[in-house]
Amino acid sequence: MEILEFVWQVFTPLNLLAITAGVVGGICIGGLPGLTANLGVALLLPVTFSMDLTAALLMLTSLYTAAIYGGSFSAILLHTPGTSASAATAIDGFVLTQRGEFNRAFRVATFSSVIGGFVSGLALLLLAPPLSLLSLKFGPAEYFMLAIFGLTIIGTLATGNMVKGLIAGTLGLLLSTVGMDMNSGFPRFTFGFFAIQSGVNFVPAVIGLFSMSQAFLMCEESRRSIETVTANKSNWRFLPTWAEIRNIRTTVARSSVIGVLVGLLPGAGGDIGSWVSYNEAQRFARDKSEFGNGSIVGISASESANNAVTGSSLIPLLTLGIPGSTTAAILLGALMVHGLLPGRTLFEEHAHITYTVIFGFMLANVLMGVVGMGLGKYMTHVTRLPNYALIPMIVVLSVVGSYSLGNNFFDVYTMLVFGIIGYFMRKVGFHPAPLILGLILGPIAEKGFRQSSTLADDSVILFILGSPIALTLLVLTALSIVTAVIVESRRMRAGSG
Amino acid sequence: MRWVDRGVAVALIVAAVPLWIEAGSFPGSGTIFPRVMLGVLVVLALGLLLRSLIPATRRVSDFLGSADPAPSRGPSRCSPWRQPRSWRCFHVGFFAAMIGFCVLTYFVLQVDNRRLYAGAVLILLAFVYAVFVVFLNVPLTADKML
Repeated sequence: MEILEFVWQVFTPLNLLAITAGVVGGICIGGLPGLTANLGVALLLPVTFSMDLTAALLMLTSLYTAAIYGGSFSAILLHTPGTSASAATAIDGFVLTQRGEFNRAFRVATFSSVIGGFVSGLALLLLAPPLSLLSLKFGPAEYFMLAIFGLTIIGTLATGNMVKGLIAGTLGLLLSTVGMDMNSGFPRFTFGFFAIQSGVNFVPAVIGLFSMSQAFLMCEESRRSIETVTANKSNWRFLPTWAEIRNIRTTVARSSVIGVLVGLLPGAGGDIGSWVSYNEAQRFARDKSEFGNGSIVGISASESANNAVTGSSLIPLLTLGIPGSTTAAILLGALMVHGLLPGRTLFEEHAHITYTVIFGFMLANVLMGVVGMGLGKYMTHVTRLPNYALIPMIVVLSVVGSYSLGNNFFDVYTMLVFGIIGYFMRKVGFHPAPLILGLILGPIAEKGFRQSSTLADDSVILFILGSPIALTLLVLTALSIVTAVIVESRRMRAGSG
Repeated sequence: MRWVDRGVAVALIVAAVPLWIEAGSFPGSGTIFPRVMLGVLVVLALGLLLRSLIPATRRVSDFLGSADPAPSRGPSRCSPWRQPRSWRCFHVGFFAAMIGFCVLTYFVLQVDNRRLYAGAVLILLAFVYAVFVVFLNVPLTADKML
């Protein structure tokens, strides 16, 4: 009966409005080349601060899944994926658009995304509560190792360059030590600046690293040329035909499962999920030649998988505090800013929020399909918005968003500094995701480390090794580093060969 | 990129030295974690330095689709001294500063469709006013922010 109450909570006017706003915003942001789900969630964070907590989380998660789906619009129309998760969609989607069949590509992409997203919502509902029981067994040593594992996995797997990923993560951990020491109250690395005594504020840092730096990068190509073909908008059909559904149903089911499994892996985002399922769809296909030539099976594989990742990437996030994707890392920060800690308490003390958000996430995936197909005809105009119209929007929203956090300019300056740092990081091949994750996980890691050293009789390392869970996490951390080293050395050999 | 990596690695190692010394002044156990992180950072920076010395590797694009660092006209266009928005916000108020900023970016970004640009700016102003001023009560129209 309690479950029905949570479902009912989703349909309150405020929550419905939050979901709708998140879905519409997400589709528009995802549909614009260069704007990503990370940027959207980062820009939306300040707006959600004074909102009701459930509505705020509903808006953020809806925006996340809708932005991943929205990426298919520009992939299909412009051959430029709006988000990296839609890169595989662009291969076949644009061929269909060139043939004048962009409505077909859209309806298949929409149908697949909705199913993938809904399946991932179901996985979140069914898997997260039992997994959260694991968090009850976590003490200081386990939390310390968990933070290190989460950071290592994002640094090695998600950024594609192990050393740079780990450096960015370590810098994040180091930045998290700036400000008043939690034990002694002594200001660390503040160099006399009173304003940073309370530490580096997470939200302006996220906005700067993901939004402002993106605006800076877009300045470099403010007059990007857009190659597109005129699409035939007559006879717009909302749902796929039965023949199309028969053609893609197995692929959608398989890719949804792949997406859910990939999302469960910490650090592996929608892009990995979509490529894995695209390759699997190709492997299972009777006629492999149709892939790359406008195959709706290819589109459905990519789209169902990337949306299936969204919900399942929230499973390690909500249960253990390890984000399954970069956007989930920002959502972790949002949870913490709103005073919620991942783990069992989310499913017991805050069950009314958590379950409402999960059911709302499932509704958002359905609503995404309705809104997406409704907007589809007009997205040809949105996706062609030039950078010079987008840059002022991002800059202004970044500045106003940062200012609105505490109505002070210091947050704006923090955002600008992180924007510049993010810009140069991207220019020299560092991804900002591990840095932001380090900033979020830093206090958890340090607290776990210090408590472990207090509890340990002789050696902290022996104390950590004494816990089976911490030991497992240590082995997994080592494995992820070894795997990354092997992959990178193979790449280097391939490069020099 | 290899020269850039070397530069970054050296800069990180050099920056770690004063931070290590500074961390030594923290009381109690507050010094351990920052120093451990600084140690890890130096080791990783050395790794980056060594890696940049290994001969020719083909650039591998990363999964997250970070921006292509291809031909750039340099960061000067987007540097903070080119965007004195914050200063103007404080002295002339947000909405006046916004209009000034948009006029500036009109020329900097070489806008070729005035109507589209003006439309985008108007929508943006209306959005900011509705969400931040009306909905979130951010004092963008109070005191000096008039």
